[in-house]
Amino acid sequence: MSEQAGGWDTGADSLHRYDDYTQINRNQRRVDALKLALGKGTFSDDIDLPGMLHLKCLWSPHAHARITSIDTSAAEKVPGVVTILHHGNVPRVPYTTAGQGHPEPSPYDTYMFPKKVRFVGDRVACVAAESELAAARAARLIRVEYEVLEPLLDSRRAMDPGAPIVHDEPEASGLPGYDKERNLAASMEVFHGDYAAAFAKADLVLEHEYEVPYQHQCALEPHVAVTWLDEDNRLVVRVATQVPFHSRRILARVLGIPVSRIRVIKPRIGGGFGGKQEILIDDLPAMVTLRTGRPARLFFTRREEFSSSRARHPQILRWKTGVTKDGVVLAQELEVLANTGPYGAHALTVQGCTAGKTLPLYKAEGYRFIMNTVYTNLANGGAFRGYGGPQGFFAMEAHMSEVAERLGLDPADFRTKNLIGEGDENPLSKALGEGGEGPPQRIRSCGIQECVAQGKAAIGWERRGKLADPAPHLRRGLGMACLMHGSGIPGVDMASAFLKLNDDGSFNLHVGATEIGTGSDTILSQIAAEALQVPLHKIIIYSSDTDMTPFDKGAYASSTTYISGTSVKKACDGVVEQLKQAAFEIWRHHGDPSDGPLTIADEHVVRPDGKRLSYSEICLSTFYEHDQHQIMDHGSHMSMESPPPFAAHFAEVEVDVETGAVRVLRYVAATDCGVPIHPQNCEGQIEGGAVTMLGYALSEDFVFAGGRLLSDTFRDYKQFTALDVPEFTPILVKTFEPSGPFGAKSVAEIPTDGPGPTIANAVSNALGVRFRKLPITPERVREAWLAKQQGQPASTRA
Amino acid sequence: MYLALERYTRPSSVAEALAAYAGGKGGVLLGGGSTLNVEGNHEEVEHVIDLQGLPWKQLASGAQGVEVGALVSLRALGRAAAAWGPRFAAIAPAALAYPVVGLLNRATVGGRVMLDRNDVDLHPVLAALDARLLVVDDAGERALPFPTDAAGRRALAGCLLRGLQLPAGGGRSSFHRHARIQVDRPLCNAAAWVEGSEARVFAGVQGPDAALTRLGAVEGKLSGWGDQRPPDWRGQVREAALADLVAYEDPWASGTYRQDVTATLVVRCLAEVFGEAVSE
Amino acid sequence: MRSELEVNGARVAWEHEPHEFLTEVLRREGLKGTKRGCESGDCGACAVLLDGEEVPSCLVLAAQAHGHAVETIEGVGSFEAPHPIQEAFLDATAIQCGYCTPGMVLATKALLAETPNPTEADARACLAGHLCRCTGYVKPIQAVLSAAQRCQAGAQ
Repeated sequence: MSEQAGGWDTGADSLHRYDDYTQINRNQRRVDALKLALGKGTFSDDIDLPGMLHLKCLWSPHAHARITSIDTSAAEKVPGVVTILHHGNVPRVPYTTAGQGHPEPSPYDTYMFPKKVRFVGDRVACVAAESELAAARAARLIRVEYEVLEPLLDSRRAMDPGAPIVHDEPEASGLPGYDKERNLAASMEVFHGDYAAAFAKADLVLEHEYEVPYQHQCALEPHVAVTWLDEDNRLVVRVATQVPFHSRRILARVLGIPVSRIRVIKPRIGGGFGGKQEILIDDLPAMVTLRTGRPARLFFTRREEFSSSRARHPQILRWKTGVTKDGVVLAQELEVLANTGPYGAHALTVQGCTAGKTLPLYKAEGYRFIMNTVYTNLANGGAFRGYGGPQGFFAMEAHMSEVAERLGLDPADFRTKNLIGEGDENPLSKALGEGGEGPPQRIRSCGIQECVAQGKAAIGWERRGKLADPAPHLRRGLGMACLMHGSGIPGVDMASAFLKLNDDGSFNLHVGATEIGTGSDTILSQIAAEALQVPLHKIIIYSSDTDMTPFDKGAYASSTTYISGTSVKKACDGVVEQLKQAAFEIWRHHGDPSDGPLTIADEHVVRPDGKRLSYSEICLSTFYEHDQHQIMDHGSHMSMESPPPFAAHFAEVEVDVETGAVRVLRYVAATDCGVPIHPQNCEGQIEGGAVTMLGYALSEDFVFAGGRLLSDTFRDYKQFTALDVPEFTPILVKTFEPSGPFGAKSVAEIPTDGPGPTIANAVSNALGVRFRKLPITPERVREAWLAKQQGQPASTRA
Repeated sequence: MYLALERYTRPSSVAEALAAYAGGKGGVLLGGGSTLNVEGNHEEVEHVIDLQGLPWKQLASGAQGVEVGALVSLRALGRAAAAWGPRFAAIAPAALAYPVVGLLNRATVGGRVMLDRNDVDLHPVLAALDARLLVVDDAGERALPFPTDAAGRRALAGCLLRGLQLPAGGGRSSFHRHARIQVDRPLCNAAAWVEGSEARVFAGVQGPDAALTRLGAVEGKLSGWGDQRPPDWRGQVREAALADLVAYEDPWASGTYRQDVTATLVVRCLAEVFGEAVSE
Repeated sequence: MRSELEVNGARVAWEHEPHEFLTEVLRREGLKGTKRGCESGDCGACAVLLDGEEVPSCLVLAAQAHGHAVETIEGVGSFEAPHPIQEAFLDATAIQCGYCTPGMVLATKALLAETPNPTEADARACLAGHLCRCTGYVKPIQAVLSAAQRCQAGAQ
């Protein structure tokens, strides 16, 4: 692996190593799957503690109101009620719920309980009682008086003079670009090259507005936290989280107790998708436990999941491209107006990624990016798998197809002509770092051209424009999009691992990395098994417990395989050296010194003359016989690079022009994620990420009545089901990333970037009408079709 | 969550059930499960009366027509109805329209029929097939027409539903619905039954309550045509349907769109009944 | 109140409140493989088999199960001898976070009892009520079909 001191190398020369691996690039049974199949995985809520209190919250019924009084006397009389928390009896500490590195680049605008509620579903009070039923009964009896304020329900109005101010209290603060007087949670403007001159040279300048909705993470396991005091009076927090170490740090701030008094345990997690990259509920049971000394539990209902957690930020995007008449991109400009709702969690960084992940994909002479993220009194934005990428790629890739159409070029050919490639520098990596300037990036591995070629073949791209309509009311179309993402946050994300040898030759691997269902326990175990040359079952992995494992930033930013994986490999490399050293010493001690340099193979240290010592023999010797010591090591990893995975997505759709219904018939996702540690698991990431976003493209939306969310159940908020999923073809394109563990890059988020534009382009291809707003609901399709029949431009129903 | 539920009763006879129900004042009926539970507005329910012990699970098809017990699950109804011939062809797709196996196993015909909500897919089908509801109260048992408006629904108050009867006869029926994805509430639905110049055509989700829209103008066209449909029957049916349908708007769909698509569904129902292609 | 039922082949008599659903009581009695996902019958995480039929246990009052037989994921397979359906889910990598898995496994069991040779459409219909944000359903659908083959092979 390259140490990249100054220079850089590409992965092309290492492709031959693909077939040399024994433990990676192999589909093995996931290390955690059997217990899950048996129903024995223990999730946060799967423990019973004697004397546990159950919590229920009272939520704001108003989008914007000042709390003038809270009367809990009737609620306190409900049998079983133990304590009731509200803004009048807890400390007022401004913080952010965003589970990010320190200092979090999100505004400190949140309080355990606000004095002014800012959305329907904001916290008002929390009851702790002997049973969930008693807590729920009591919460309904809390009398609250409000001074109802004018709500801000339109992001386009947020910066207008005279608009209601969402954060008019003095404590809230943020990074440069934060301006609460104008409802600005974050803003920035960056450019590269002489974009104005580049636009001036262009033969064609095309500019359109795009719009994307809220989307909910819909992790099947709701938010849940269980807290108790251990025998040393320390606070134990067992929580469904993606970020146990950030949770510990932020909880210490909010609760006013030292980090050393908190232990955060991440048990089995039922999916996160960014929704659990948030310190969303942990503080409430923790506060109850500190106050009462008793275990406490808060488990969100599905309605609370929808109306009181976080969602993908809605955006309005203006995309402008300048091209030559033969299809060379000269300049790109993107202006984003994002809606973060009442609090600014991830407001700056999600929107930064909207530009950072998208703009560099096509080479140009100049770029410009303008971003304003505004507060409103609608639902709360936050982290969601893709993290700004899906919004940006929808606009960019729908736009690139429009540009190709205007130029009369095949959209695939137009793209491949302009794509970034191996050896190219990412022009925006410096300007768009995490909350400030970032390190420069150069592409070492890039399979995007191959993704396009294989994807075109798989979908049958040559049929585009020649598809037969199966019935008079049905139209078929093909669409595509090109994508890139990242692998961790360069210069920020750090992960670490600890490894020790046991006397049967097995290894305990302790990682801070947070398995939330992604497969990271398996992937990291496979990396260890490969580095140690042992079978997978010899690795006993334990992940994410702030007392028991070393630090890891958490499960986000597509960082686990690349960052945490490299930390595991470093720990293993250290242990391998110790194994060789110990074997050398054992042989020397027995008067049979090695005849040359030692290697490892098949759980043994091997000499050139073929003599071998098993790891078990070495461990028994180092435990009990000679030069006694524990063979163990640790590794930490931070990368100044964030190598992008690449992908090309293709879809075939069928549109019923009489109802507007869109059926996705086939979907192809060709992906370059470097060397796949577990190919089937990579496919699973691609399929899951893409199907999530087929809902974003077609059926998922937040429907409000005023400020109240109506689509707050699985019956009203429609994600794709097994009946809706198309015939799906994932393709893994071979590349080798020299800076990654065994050549790997990330795969978790890139699939989420594709379906929005791919489906929009396919529907547009089917009907000859462009779609610039998601979701492409049947009603919008029907309206656009009728408008086209009447020769009028489509007006889009809000 | 039930915040107030303190009593569960499982009557083993109709008399016990009537006594417990007390004309609607005694408690809430549980026909099989889903009706009461899914909607979530039952914090105040104090007493549920679970009817599972009553012998209302018959599924009989004969010369008199079809009789379906109130406790028959939607899944059982959907499976059985597939064999009842063209007159009853609309039943299976409507019964199975929300294709979640667990819910289809739990939801009962009685629960669905009594549900006073506009998005029940069985409602337009039962109206089109002129179903009779077999109800029981302290005054005894009687048959009522399937309710298509608020007045008809009020007539059911205080009664237990024992089952329903679908009269025998000929003709064909069909059912179509429109939703965002496969597992979804309908944005609109429609059902039609036609035999010669006789026709009954109904549409659902055309208002805030369970009332159905009877498409009289469409029925009039059909009876005028008999077996001699004009070549442009689709256009004429669509026009007639649009005349009968109001533009009912809710947060999920605009009035004009729902009206437009419902008219399409009516055309598709009739195309299916006539054995013609969906579109031309 | 008290309900008597059969759970995974054993007769039990459980004390519970009238308002408690089967999900809550099963979990309190230690059968925590039954998951709470929505409590409105829409997600499938709490699925159990009631007299062999798949039902959402969040919509069944515990009292309604009196006199009936319930099968939960704890009744299917073991570490030593996983059920062929579970083996199929493992080998297809159809399990990511695993929160939906018990429900999917039980749904598959109910399907294969009625339809030993399911089509892909049958497999999709079987999983339609089981929401999963991780897998995109592609590998679970494959797992259901592979499970059918394994069960057939085992029966011969």
